[in-house]
Amino acid sequence: MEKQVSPFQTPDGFYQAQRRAIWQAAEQPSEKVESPVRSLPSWWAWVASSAALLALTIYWNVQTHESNCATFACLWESTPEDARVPSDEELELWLEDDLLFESILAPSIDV
Amino acid sequence: MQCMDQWHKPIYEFLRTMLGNHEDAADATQETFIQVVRSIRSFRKESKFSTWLYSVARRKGLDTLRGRKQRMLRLAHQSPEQWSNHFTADPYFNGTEAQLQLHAAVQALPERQREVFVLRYFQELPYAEISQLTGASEGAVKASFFHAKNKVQEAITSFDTLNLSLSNPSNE
Repeated sequence: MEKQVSPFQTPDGFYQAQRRAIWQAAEQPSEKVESPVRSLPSWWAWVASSAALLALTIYWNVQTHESNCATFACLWESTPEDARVPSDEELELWLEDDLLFESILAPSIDV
Repeated sequence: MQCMDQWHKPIYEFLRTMLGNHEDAADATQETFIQVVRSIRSFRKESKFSTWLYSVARRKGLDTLRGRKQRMLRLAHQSPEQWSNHFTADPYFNGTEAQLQLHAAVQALPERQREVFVLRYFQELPYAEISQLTGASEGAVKASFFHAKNKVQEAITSFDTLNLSLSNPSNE
């Protein structure tokens, strides 16, 4: 097998031109791509997470606020234990709730 | 840089035999030396400089092989005959018929065998250094070279058989 003489040719001036290109490229600083997340200051992360937590808490409270309730169960969940004594009007509203009436005022008796 | 004068052509020819075309070999060679110049200070002298240089070139070559252009090239050229046509049409290939058959047979080898064959046969690196470069055991390197050499010889024989039958048509 012939291997002593290389069969590969290159264009005229290839090696000289490539060496110039290599030195030019090597002299330039290597590009560092900064992550957009890393470029923010660290305290921003704390602010963002606190805001998210606050938003979640507000959302949860709004969802279970008594004014949004359509059933007694929701009202029961949203009313704190140390809340004011319900007014007659509120009490009447609760008593109209069938589920409450059946489960509390008419316990089941096995006959 | 003195090493560039000494190693520029060998590294180009190593990548040329790995990649099969001038453009890809030129790009990979340039990237190799850019990285070498940039990271020469991190060279720890735990291995020979040539081993380190070839390992950088090898990685650039492997990266190029995984690229779309090389994958398409190798999809279109799978047999030694197809590679022979490729080199015949290559304006930067100016070898004899025997060299054409040899390089065509080498390009048709599986990637790992081609790499070992190129490093051993063309670059004449010792098995120990090839083992260090590729991360394979010396035994595995020798086995790869053995199988590669057999396939190359088989391909060249089939070229000769084809040429013989073409030059001696049967008499009617």
